[in-house]
Amino acid sequence: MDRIETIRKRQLGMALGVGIPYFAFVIGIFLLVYLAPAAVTGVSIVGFPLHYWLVAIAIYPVTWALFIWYVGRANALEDEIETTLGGE
Amino acid sequence: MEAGYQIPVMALVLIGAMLAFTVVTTFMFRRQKTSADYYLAGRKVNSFINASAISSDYLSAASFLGVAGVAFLFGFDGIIYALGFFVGYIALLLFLASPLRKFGRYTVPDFVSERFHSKGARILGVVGVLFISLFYMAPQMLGAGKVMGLLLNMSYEKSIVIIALIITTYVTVGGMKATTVNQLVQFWILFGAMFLLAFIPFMAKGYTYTDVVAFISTFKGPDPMTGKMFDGVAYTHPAYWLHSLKDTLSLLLALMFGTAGLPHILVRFYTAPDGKAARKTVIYVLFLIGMFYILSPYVGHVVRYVYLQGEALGVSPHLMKWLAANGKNLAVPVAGSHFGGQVLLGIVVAGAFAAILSTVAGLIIACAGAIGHDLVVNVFNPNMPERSRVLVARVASIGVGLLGIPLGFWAENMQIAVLVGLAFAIAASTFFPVLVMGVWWPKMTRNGACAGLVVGIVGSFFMILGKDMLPHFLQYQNPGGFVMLLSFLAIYAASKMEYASKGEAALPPDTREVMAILHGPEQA
Repeated sequence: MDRIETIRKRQLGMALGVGIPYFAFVIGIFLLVYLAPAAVTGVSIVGFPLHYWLVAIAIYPVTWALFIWYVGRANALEDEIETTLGGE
Repeated sequence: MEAGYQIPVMALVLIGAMLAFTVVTTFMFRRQKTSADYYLAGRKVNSFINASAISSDYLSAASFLGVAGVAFLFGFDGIIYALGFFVGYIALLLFLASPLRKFGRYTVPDFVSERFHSKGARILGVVGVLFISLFYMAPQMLGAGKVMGLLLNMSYEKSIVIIALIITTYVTVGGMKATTVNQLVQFWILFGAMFLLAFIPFMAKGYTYTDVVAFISTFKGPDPMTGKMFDGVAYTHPAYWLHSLKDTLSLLLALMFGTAGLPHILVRFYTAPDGKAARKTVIYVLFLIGMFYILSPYVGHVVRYVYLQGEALGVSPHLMKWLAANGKNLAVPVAGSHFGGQVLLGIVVAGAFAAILSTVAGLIIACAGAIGHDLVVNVFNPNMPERSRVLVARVASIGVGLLGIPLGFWAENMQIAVLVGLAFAIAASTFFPVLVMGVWWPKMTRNGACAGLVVGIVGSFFMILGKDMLPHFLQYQNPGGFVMLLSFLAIYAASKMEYASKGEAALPPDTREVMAILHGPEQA
């Protein structure tokens, strides 16, 4: 049972290790856009305003890449748990 | 019916084809041997199929009609809905998808009651499911009524009654298996419709996102139909609609964490074969809905772009009138009619019905599960035979489906995405804290679970429906983020107090075993 506690903490550490920076990133973008609009609305990249880039486009590929990586790691941990505890 | 209005026959043929498919699959899957078949499709749904079905469940009228509508109405601020709905899946993936599947129960109330051995928590869970689902169902009915009105020039009330009867019949007869098969097809109809709506203006007309935003941001003048002043700079900048940071953050938190508390989405993960498949499913969902949410704010902006130019771009007076009166909810079908005539209108309206049908079906199944399985069977009659359980599920489905009629009437003048945002607020403040803490915090107690549920339900009830009675600092456009934090605090404080007074006896006796199921290797 102590091993389950260790596993739970590892799983939680992995989820928070990815989740906290990710949610901080999303909320950070919004704080930037809403608290300092002048810093983003005046900037354009290829003719498209930066605040649109950030909120309407860029966040999607970033999320896809990050979470494909995360699922790979989470499933690898799952396999490890099965190998070490599966027979018990 | 408006003089000179012509029924779009081609559009009706396409919608009829989709409905015919729905009828055939519903009858093919009408035999449900067990209640697990009815609620969970026998727990054998492949990840990609499940992902399409979940996406279809999730991309409701709020996403299909509402996100483009809210972007049409509020410009840049409307995009917060697209982003929030998308990011919502992350919390689900990180904290709940796999453990909930490993726990392997039918419904959210099942989880809270079995985790904490509390009938009270189960009943509160049922109240939460009904509160969230009915709030979620109202805007779906609103979308259905408005689209049918646009298509057939039919009265809103008549449309609502017809839609409610169709959906109720289909869910009651088919259960989750038929719902899953239909949702798979419906997802691709609604995704294809949104793709075409973005593709045609972009490729055929050359309306790039850049050009559209650039044009709108330089437009300052009277609205072509209402004559009100329209300021394009404000529309394409932040804080056109969301003036207060407090409101913006609370809305964002509600959308980000509400998904992980939506009963009709959570129940879907129980249909995955195992925890790993549940995680893989979320990744597929992220791809599918991500592509959708990139496209729909663009479509909303394109509709604003053509509306501002009206006649110069050949928008018919009939469509201009609809946009002026109902653009907040009908930007998408109007765009379909303008860019692709009857054929695209038909595909788009079929997509809208697909979105509504699949979401309401998911909501009815979740509510039927809460009433039939959680309340009738588990609280009142645990020894009920299997055949009677299926019957109870079907009767509950009929009752919930018909409730869609008064809900649709109530929601008539609201904006779909804003109303769904409130359902997310309830989910974020009711189930999300209880599920996350219940899965990850072994020292959470029964009182903690009940306190979290009560604060979530009562807090969101008063802050949404009794908003005007509260002092100004407690009034939020969407109180989800605020009440969610209160609910987390309530769980923590009540659990700590119970633990301080009872010690280890405050914890459910099988906490260690439950933690082993949630976090250990998959049970065979």
